[in-house]
Amino acid sequence: MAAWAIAKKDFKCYYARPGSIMFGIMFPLFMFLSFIVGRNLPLEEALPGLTSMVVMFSASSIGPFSIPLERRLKTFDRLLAAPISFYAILAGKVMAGALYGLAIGLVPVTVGTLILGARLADPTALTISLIVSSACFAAMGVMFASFPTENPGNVTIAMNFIRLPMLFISGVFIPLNRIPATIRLAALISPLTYANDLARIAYGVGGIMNIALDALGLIVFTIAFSILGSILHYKLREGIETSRRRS
Amino acid sequence: MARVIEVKELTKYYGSLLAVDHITFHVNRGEIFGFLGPNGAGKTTTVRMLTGLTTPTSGTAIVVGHDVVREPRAAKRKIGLLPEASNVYTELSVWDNVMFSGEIHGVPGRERQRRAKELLEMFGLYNRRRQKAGKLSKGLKRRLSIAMALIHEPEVLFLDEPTSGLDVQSTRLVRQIIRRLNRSGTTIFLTTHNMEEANTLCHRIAVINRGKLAAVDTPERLKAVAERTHSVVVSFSTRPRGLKEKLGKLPAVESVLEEGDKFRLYTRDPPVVLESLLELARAEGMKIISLNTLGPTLEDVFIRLTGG
Repeated sequence: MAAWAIAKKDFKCYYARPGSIMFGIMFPLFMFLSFIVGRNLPLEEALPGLTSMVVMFSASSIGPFSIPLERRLKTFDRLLAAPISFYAILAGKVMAGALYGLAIGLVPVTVGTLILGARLADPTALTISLIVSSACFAAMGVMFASFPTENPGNVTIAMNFIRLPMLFISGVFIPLNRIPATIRLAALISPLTYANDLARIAYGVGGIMNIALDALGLIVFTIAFSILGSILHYKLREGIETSRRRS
Repeated sequence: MARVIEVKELTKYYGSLLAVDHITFHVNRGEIFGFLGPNGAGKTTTVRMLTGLTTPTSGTAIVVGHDVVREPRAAKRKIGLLPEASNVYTELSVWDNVMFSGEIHGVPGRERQRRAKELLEMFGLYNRRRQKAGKLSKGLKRRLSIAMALIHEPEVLFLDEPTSGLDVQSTRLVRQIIRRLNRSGTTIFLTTHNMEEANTLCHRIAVINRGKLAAVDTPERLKAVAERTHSVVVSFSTRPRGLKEKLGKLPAVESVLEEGDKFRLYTRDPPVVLESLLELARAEGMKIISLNTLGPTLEDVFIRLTGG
């Protein structure tokens, strides 16, 4: 219940703001255009990469922004002073990020299939991909927000060091079966690989794994990010207190 | 008298920095307990430990029967916290802020609505309930913060510098609220560096300096500590050269402080100082414009205890 209350509050405070809504509309739109325009690529080939990328960036964007901001505004203390577990706080943050990622992820899916007429081969795979990858990337964002800072920019910079390389090793731009074997091995440690593979299955352009394996991969990453995030947030809290005290 | 807060040898290090140094005290049920100290003395760190926001390095703190380290959630259910900064959610409406606070404190739906209405009415915010909290003035945000801290009807309310930075009107109102809450049975733990506030509000005061407790007692008994620091405040029609030095040499004067157009003469024997002041005024051809004798203030006690 407390986690849901925090998710609702985050939605009102951060996600439903004009800037976030604009980001949610403009970001997939421009990504869509940059993927399609000038490339002789079938829509079904472009949509999986685009969808998984949009879900990753949107689900993992606002959590790492809101937590350091709340630390700075001391509203995070309000959550810590409440009789709720630390996990409930992080779960609420993940929930809000996941819902946002899911909503934004539906934009390219809707435009691609309903307006431009892309063929959706496996709706179940797409549903699983959207839901599980939204949760996974939201958990990744919240894990990064454990970075002991009150400046949201510091977290975003650190996150982009991970997110941007992930785009190139996860088969978003070039399908995995066409990239060198060494990079394909590296792709296994990227959750975006599994999200993208599921989306490729959904649009019928062939994944290198199957739905169960992709879903399992994403679930394992979600659990790992959640556990690691909880541990890091808890351990690094003292570091924030110490730097606050010294400043 | 039942103790609602019991602190033993509580200590906090931030890295190598000792913020709170083995403090021991207790707070009785129904008290307004003041925690007085200069900036950086360890007041906020103590509140953060007692409210479970930071973990003590050593020592124990029992709040309403629950150890804040071993049973933090049980302790948090019984307490409300008003931090130094009014940490309201500026993007949420006044109503949503209070409702959110109720939700995370586990107040059931209908009860939450009833309490929120009651509190916002009590704090004069009900008519502004749809307004975004970010649009409120500093004083109103403070009131909203207190309402948020009270939604779950805590037994102990921690107020960290509740009137810091507020205008006179808001300060007065917040102090009235504190008294009203205390009359209705809430124990108040108040940190402040404002002597007047501690003097007029608190039943007992702990003075903390550089992480150590210097004294814990009632304001009047603390003032008795500084019984010898009476003072005579005088202002003259003229100020001949070397007047301060001459005042300092008068019998029974221990020290002289210049305060604007007045001089404050610290003494153990005010009548002797008064006589010699009159003699000095006659000898120098000055008129005495004003003359007051003052007992020790809590500020004197504070300075004496903290070495300020």
